[in-house]
Amino acid sequence: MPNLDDFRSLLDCIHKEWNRAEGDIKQAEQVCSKVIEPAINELRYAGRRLIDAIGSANAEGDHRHVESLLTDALFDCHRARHDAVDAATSKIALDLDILRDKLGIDVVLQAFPSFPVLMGEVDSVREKIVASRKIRENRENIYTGIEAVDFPALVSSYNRFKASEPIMRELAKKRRWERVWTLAFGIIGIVGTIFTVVGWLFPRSP
Amino acid sequence: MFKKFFGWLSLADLDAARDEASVQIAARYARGNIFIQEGRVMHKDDLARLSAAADQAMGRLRDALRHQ
Repeated sequence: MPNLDDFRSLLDCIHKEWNRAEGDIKQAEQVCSKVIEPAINELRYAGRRLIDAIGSANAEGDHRHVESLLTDALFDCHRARHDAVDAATSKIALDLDILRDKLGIDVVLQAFPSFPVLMGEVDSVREKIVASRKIRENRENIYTGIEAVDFPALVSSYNRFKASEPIMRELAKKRRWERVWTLAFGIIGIVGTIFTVVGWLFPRSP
Repeated sequence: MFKKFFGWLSLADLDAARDEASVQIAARYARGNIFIQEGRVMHKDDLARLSAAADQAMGRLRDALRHQ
């Protein structure tokens, strides 16, 4: 007869992983301003597996069956965390790309010199996510890699980046105005030169 | 043309690009009462679309940093 005490270490892992997944989901919601439904659903499935495992243990079910349900619950928690990290890092990558495209990489680097570090952190997570999609048989190991990511630290780096956005905007505005003045003075210079040359070639008769 | 020019000068093009990016990631509203995130929910296909767009964005960012 299976006893839930036999699965103490597995239950402990589920407890820790569920808490991590919940924390990551909250962070991802704040980054994306949306509820990340796939991650919530994975936690829902994990809850279902847990209830089934308790039911099976109480009904004196098979020891292996209870263990398999608990392992599935743990894996659902991993997947919930994976979806949350996927959503948040995707949103961060898009935001970084839009700012680079519209303001210019030089402006971004001037206002936030740690931009390459932040990009490296996002890139490393994204590479693992892309790899997890391609190598399905090695998915569990890759998930473990993603789980090692300090996601709250990544979100806090991104928040620091966002805090320097007003400086980026001011720098970009200044550069755009400089380009306008350079163009305006360039046109005035060219027109002036043309008039001078025309006046020199075709002098007015007295 | 003037509107575009003054939009560029005031960085309105940046905000427009951001709005466009969030429109691409469909903002659906949940059924029932969800108070968090004003009821906006990202479904599975939205997440897949967002993830694919992010992979392309990472490629562009890597190129930009390499050429810097």
